[in-house]
Amino acid sequence: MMSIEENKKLVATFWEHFSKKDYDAAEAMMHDDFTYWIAGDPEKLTCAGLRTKADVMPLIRAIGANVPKGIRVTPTKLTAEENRVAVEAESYGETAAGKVYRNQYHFLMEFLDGKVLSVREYLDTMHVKEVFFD
Amino acid sequence: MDIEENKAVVLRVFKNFTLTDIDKALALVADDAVWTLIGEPRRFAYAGAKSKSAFTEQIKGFFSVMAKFRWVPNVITAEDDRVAVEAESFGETADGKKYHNFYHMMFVVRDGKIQAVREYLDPFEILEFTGEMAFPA
Repeated sequence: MMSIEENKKLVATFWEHFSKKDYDAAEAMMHDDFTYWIAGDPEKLTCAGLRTKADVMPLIRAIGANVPKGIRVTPTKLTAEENRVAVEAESYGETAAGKVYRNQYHFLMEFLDGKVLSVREYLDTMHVKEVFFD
Repeated sequence: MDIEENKAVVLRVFKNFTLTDIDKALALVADDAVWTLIGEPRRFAYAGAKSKSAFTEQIKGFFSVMAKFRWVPNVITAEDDRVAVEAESFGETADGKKYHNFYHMMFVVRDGKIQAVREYLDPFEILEFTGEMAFPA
């Protein structure tokens, strides 16, 4: 099994790729069975729910297209055990329309064979809806 | 304290976080602990950092309308003095109105007590339950 320190490095690298809008590189880190789950009720927040790798990449790219300089996601506290890392993080971005996006997250990331197996994202749903989905 | 002891403290908090035993859960929280609900207080009144007494008042107010409540821990990830817990809540008022939320909690545990809490949840579920928002919005 991968070490906790290896997993923490993958966390940092994954969010570096995402922050630089290097979505191909982020995708390359995803396991074939990768899933991305955003906590929430899809009837209240359309992006909430579970997606496969094939489903989540278009969503990530669509949001990225709306944020010229990208959304910088900065992990602030990592808590790792076995194949998991709980990641507290903050984000900053400015949409093309000039809205400022600043969210706070607690991700649970799981790792398998040197890849990201899953991301579960908990965030301020009011803020993401107000900036991106209203 | 070791990680397993810290996890045991956190699991006791969840086990006692019920309508009848909430005081036992709060007894595991240090008197000077800060309980922070993540969000923007100017837009979501429940968000922000609270002292133990302010949080106690808030949770008891929330419980006062519930006839049933369970807080169920799911996946736990612990390291050093931190215990991260993915959890789900199930509540119901006397007239059948349901409350549900998803959480990723961060507990800081030292000397057998919770020293700090950072609570990440979906504010829409609270606001719909209290009637402050209706969906579809």
